[in-house]
Amino acid sequence: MSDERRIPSGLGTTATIAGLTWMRLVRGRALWVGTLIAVLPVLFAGAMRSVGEHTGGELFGIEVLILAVLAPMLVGASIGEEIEDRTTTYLWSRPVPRWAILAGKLVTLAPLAAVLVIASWIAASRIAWDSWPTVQTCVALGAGAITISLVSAGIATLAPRHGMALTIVYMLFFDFPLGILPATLRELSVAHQVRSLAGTSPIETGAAAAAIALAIIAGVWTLIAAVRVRRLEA
Amino acid sequence: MSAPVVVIDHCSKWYGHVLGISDVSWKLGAGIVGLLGPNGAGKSTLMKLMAGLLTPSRGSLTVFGADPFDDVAVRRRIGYAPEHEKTWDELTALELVTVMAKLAGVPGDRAGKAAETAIDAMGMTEAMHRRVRGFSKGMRQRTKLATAIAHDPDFLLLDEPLTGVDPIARIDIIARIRALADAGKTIVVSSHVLYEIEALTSEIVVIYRGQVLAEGNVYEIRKLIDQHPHRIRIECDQPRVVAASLAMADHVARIVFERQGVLIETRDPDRCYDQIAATVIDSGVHVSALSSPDNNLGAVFEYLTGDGGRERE
Repeated sequence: MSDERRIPSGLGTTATIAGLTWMRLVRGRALWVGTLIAVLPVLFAGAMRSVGEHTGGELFGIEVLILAVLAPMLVGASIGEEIEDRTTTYLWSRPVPRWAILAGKLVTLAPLAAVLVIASWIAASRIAWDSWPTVQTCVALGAGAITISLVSAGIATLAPRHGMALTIVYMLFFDFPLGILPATLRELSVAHQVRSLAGTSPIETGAAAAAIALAIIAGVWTLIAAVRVRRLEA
Repeated sequence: MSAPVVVIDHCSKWYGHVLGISDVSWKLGAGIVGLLGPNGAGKSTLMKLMAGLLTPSRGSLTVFGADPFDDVAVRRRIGYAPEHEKTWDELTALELVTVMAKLAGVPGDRAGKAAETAIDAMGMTEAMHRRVRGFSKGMRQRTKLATAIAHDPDFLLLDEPLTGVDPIARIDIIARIRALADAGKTIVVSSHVLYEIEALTSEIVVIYRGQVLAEGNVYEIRKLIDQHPHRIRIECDQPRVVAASLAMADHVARIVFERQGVLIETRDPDRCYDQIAATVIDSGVHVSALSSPDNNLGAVFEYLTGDGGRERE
């Protein structure tokens, strides 16, 4: 096959989609809304400090809550809208593997969610306690961002019209309550594993176990998304 | 004789309980073919099956000998412009077409040039640095066509490329599509407007309620309606005067009185109109409306579906 008639590679497709996603992000509203959401804990910390209140562990909990909204807002909305608006017809009619389209979005949006929430945590910690947060807590939030992004990708491929909203509902009304159950089921909770990884959970399972649990949860939802995208029809 | 580009063998597609296409068998060779049918007939379903966006519920469909849904490589030879208008409006036309060219396999360093060439072929060079958000319907259609041709595909699927386009842009786009066919591309164009298809090609496939009703030369299919008596409806204050003046004419097949006028079935509509005009002038009949239910695509389909278009007596 001549050079002009080649098939794009999976990595090449991922890179092109990542570039497209970033371009749309910068020119759209999602990035700015996401940044505003990430600023909320900083404002909270500032407000508490101004009235002389000590925030304690609530601040990290707020960051986890922000994560449950931010990642779906970026990932779930992007994937869901693409399918609902049928712009996928442009993508899927191309000679590219569908997993690469999903990967291209995730490599742009998941790290962005992580960066926003980690930056928020650092700024809020500085304001609240005049100190830098631990690397462990930052890693935990980053891992949580990646995991929730993949959960959001899976849910958005299953229910594209309400991908973002359903993921938020899933996190707030299923995952969070699951994480405080005094039972083995709490291991399925992303929020619980993030707190365990950060060392802030009263029911710690250990950082290594938490990291493995997050990887498994992420892997399951990634598989769901990949299988679903492979057979979706435009 | 070259192998057919598309082979469809007893192909059906359902969306749950909704029928898309039913037991379609068709072979497509080189050239332009018009896919003609009303809204909901199954044109887009057939286009999407050929573009590899859907899988058949039953039967088989191959493009260049391969299943376009599963075979990534065959999609390199296909260019598809969907019916819907939604694109990534934040991008400029050049950025959009360049991304699509890259995703179709054009090397990154040449994708921009390929995009410019495609945009120029569609007459959008002046607007290529503008964001798609601000485009008119015609400009969006041209941009869509540019995305379909940027990677120099062998087979083009253009789903309703003229919908919503103004008359001047329509003429231009038709000319550009014909130029693509002259360059050797196999093209399927869908439309629900007969004269749009007639301007592009003489080979058409008529689809209705998911089934192929007729295929072949458009003039032969059009003759089907010409052979069927034309109906002319005259709403007037003196229908019996009009009917009496036409009753003895040899081209008149039937006269039906309606509440507000009279319906004439004629084998020679031109002569009939002349006679009606003469009657109106000579007798002073006041005509409030004059129409022909047969001068539309619906009549073609009525005839082809066997409804015949005959008024109830």
